[in-house]
Amino acid sequence: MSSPSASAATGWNTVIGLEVHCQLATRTKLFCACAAEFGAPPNTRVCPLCLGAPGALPVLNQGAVALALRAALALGCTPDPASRFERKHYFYCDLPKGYQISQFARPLARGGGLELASGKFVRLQRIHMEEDAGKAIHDRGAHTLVDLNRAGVPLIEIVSEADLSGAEEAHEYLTRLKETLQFAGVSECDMERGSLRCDVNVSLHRPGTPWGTRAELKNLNSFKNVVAAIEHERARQRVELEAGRRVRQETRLWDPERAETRTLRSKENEQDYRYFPDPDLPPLVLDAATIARVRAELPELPAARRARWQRDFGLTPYDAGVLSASRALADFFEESARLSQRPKEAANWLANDVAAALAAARLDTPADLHLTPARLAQLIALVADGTLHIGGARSVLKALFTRAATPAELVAELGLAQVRDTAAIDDWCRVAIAANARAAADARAGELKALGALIGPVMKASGGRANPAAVREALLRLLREERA
Amino acid sequence: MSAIDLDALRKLASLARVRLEDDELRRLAPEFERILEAFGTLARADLGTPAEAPELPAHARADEPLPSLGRDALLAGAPQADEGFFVVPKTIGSAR
Amino acid sequence: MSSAELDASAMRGAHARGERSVRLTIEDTLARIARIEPTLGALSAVLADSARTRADELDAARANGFEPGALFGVPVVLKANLCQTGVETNCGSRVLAGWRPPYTATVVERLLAAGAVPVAVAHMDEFAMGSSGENSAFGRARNPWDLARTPGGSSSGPAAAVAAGLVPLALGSDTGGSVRQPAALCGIAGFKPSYGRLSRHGLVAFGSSLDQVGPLARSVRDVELALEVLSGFDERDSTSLRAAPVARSARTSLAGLRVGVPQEYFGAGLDARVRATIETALGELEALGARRVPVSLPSTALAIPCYYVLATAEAASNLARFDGVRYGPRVDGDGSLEGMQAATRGAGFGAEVKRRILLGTFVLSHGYAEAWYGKALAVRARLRAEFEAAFAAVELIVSPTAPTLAFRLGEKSADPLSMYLSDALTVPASLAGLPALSVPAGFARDGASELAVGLQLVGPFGADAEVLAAGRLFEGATRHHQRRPALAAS
Repeated sequence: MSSPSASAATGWNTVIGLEVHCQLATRTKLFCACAAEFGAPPNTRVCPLCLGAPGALPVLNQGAVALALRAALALGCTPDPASRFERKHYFYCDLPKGYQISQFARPLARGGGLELASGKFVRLQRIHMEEDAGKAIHDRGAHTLVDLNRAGVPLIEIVSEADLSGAEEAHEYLTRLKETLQFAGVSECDMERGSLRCDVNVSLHRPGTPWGTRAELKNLNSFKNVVAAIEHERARQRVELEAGRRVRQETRLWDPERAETRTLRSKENEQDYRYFPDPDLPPLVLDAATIARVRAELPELPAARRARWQRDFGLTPYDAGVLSASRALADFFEESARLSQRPKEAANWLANDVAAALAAARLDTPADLHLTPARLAQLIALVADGTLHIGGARSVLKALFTRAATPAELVAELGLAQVRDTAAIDDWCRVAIAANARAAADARAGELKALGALIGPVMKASGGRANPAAVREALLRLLREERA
Repeated sequence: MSAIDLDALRKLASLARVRLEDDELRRLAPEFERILEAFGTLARADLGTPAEAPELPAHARADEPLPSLGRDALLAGAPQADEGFFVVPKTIGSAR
Repeated sequence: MSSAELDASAMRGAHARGERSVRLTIEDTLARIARIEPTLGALSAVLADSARTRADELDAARANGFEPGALFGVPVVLKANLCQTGVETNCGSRVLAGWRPPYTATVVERLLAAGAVPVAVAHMDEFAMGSSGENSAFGRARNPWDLARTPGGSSSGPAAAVAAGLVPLALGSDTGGSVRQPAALCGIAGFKPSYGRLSRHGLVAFGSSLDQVGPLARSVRDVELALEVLSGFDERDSTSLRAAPVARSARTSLAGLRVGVPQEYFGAGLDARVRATIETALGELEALGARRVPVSLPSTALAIPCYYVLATAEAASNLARFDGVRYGPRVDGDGSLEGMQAATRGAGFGAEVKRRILLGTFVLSHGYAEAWYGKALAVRARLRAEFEAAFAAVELIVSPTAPTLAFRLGEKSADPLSMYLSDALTVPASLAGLPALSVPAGFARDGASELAVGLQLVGPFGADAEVLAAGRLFEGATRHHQRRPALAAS
C-alpha cells in the first residue's frame, strides 16, 4: 500500500520529510583525538574537550570531513566551498559545553537526492556536520547518570525535502539512503548502536489544498518503528482533522512499547538556540581540487552496481537487489564472480543458499559463515567440471560454513565426488532392475515414468554420488540389452 | 530594542539558565536599559551587509586517536559521581 | 643585586652562567612576596613548594650540562585563567572555586619548556570581565603606585605583581584591553599580540574571537623575549597563526617612522592630565625622528557597543558549560536538573558576569540577533577596513591606552556603563585583531599620588615585532619604565 491509494481511500494526502543522523565511520571524534568506538566503559573516551573543560579548543578531524564530503557527493549534493560551524545552545546534562557544534546557515552541502524504484526522485535539502551529545541514562536508580564517551562523535544530518507521501516510501528512502552510505564507506548505519537515527516530519492535507501543520516524531530507533510511527501519526492527525480540530506544531515522542506518539514539547516551548558562528573554528574551506579528488575516489554505488550486474552478468533484478543489500555482500559477489568466471552461478549460490543460511543464523555477510569468495569459486568449479552434482555441492557448502577446509578437501572427506565408474553404476542398476521387476517391466514397455522408480534406488545405493543422468543412461541401456 | 522589562529579563535569565533573585532582577533592569540605550547607536547604525572575514585554509588534524583522560582523574573533579558516571538529579528525555 | 632589580633576560643570563642559582632567585622572590603581597593583594595562590622543587631541578639540570632555555630560572606569575594541570585555576569565580584542570595551557607549557618558574597565580576580574580587578570573587589587587587605587583590569594581579617587583614577567589575557590597560595604570609594558599569534589552548575563554594571551613586564625587551618563547603555531588551536615564532626586530631607530594619531582617540572622555602626558610622549617620539601623521578612524565611537555585543555574546556561550554537572561546585536548588543548573550558575557567577551573560543572551536571542549581533559584525568589519586604510599611510597608530588615570577602588563599581567606557581606546585594536602595546608614557599627579600613563602603539596585523621594536626604542630613550613605586623598594 502506498500513499496514492491511501489518499484515494481516506481523502488525505500525507507529506513526509526525514532528518537522518548518521555517525561517520571515523576512528576519532569530530573535534578531538578521543577514540570514537562504541561500547567502551563509561567515561573512558573523554578528554578536556569532551568534558567541556574551559580553555579546551576544537580541532577538526579531516577524516570526518572526507567522509561527510563523500556522503554529500554520493547523494548528488553540491558542497559549499566555505561551510561554517556554529554553536547551537541549549542546556542538558549530556551536553558538556552548553552548546553543540553544528552547522546552520552554511551547511556542508545542499541539494541532491535519491531515486526510488518507482522512478520518483526524493530531493535532499541539506547535509550538515555536527557533534553528538553524550548519553544520559535514566533507568538506573534514583538519579540520572551521564556518560560522555559519545560526546563529540562525528555525525552528519541528512535532511530530505518533504517529498515522501507514505510510510513505505519513507522505508524505501531510508533503505536506499542506508545502502548508499554503507557502500560509500561513510557509516556503519547500525541503528541498534545508534549510528543511524531518524526523525520524521508528518503532515496531512486534502488534495488540492495547502499543506497542513506538521508534527516532528522522535525516538525512532528502527525502520520498523519509522513505518509504525508514520502510520500511527497519520491516523492520529486524520482523527484530529476530521473532528474539526487543528494539528498542533509540536515534537512528539514515539513510544514503541505502546505503539503511539505523545507530545514531547509544543512550538511555544521550542528552544531559542541562538546560533552563531563558532569563533574557535574557521570556515571549512573545500577547494575544487579536494572535491574532485573525493569524487574520483567514490566507490561504485549500489544502484550503479545493480544496473551493471543486470547488463553484464544477466542477473535478475531480484538477485541484483539481494546481492546489493550490503557493501560486504556485493563485494563478495563481485569477487566470487571474478574468481569463478561464472557470475550467474555465483549469484545463485549467494542469493539462495547462502542468503538463506545467513538469514537462519541472523548473520550479515558470508564472511560471518567462514565463506570466502575463493572457496565459493572452487565449489562452482567442482560443479562445472562434473565432480559434484548439485546435491553434493549443497552438502559441501553446508560443511564450509563450519569448517576451515577447502571444497576439494571436503568432497574427498565426505566422499561426495560423483561416481563416474560405469561398472559400479551398472552393478547398482542391475540390482535395482532385479529388485523392482514390475517397474522394470513397465519401463521396458516404454513407460518412462517407471524409470524414476528405478533411479531412486540406484541413487540411494550410491549414497547420492551417482550422476543422475549417467544412471538414467545406464538403466535405459541395460533394459534394452535385457530385452535384446 | 525597546526597554527590557522585568518579564523579558526573567525570560533571558531562564534562557541563560541563571537563577536571579527578585532584588537582582530589579537592580539589573534599569542597568540593562541604560546599557542598551547607550549601545543603541550600534543598532541604529546604517552599515549595509558586512564584508566576509577572510577565509583561512581549513585547519584539520589526522584521524588518529590519542589517549583520553584517566576516568578516576576525570571523576575526581565531579560534584557527584558513581560507578564511572557523572550523577545528576533524575531527569527524563532529551532537551533536543 | 636583588632579583627585583634584574629584568628577565639579565636574570636568565646570571642563572645560565652559573653566577646565581635559580633556587636563590626563587627564595628571594618568595621572600619578596611574603613581604609585599599582604599589602598588594595581587596573588590568589603562591606556588612555593612546586617553585622550589622546580628551581632545584633546573639547577641540577644546568649542572648536568643541560642547555638553559630563554627564560631559565625566571620566576613568573600567571593570571588565574591559564590552565596548569593540578593547579587551581578559578578565573576569579566562585563557579570554578577549587577547580584543578586536567591539562596545561600551551603558553604555560612553552614557558616551562623555556625554563621559567611559575611562582604564583594572580587575581583577576571574574572571567576577565572588568577593568579594575574588583570583579574577583577572591581578592582585589591594589595599584602599587597608590594602594587606594585600581591596578586596572582584568589582568589586575599580574600587572600589580610585576609593577611591585615581585617578578619580572607575568602572563595575562587581553580581550578588550585587559593586558594593556592595567599595564598602563601600573606603569609597565603590556602587549596584546596579533589575534592567533599566541595559542588560546588552555586559556579559559571569555570572548573567543578577541582573546589573546599577553605578556606583562617591566621592560619591552622582556616582552619581546617572552613573545619569542610563547609564539609559534599550535595545532591545538584552530585559530592559531601558521607562523614561526616572532623574532625580535632589528630596528635601531625611529627615524622616518610614520606615526598615526587618530583624532577620534582624543575626544571629550579623555582626562586632561592623560592628554598632556601623551602629547609630551608624542613630542618625544618626534624628537626620536618619527613623523606625526593625523589619521581618522571614523567608526571608533561604535567600537564600545560593538565590542560589548560581540564579547558578551561569545561569553554567554563560553560560560554555558559551568552548570554543576561535571566539575566545580554544585548548588542543588529545587532538586531538579534545571533547578540545580540555574542555582549553581546563579550562586556561582558574580553580578558583572551575570549582567554580561544576560546581555550576550539578549543580543543573540530570536528577534534581536540581526539588530544587535549582526550589526556588531558589520561594525567590526568596518573598523578593520578603516585600520587597513590608515595603515596605508602610517606604520603605527599611537594613542593613550586608557582615557583616565587609575581610579579609586570602588569609584566606578556601581556604574557598569562608565566602567565599560574605560575600554574605549583599547577595544578597537582587539576588534581588528591587531598587535597593540602599552608602554609607560610618563607620570601625572593626582593629589598626593603620582600615577602612570600608558602610550598605546598599534600596528598592522602580523607586525608584532615592529610594534615591540618601536616601544623598546621609545622606552630606551625616555626611561619612564625605570621608575619604581615606593612599595617595590620596601
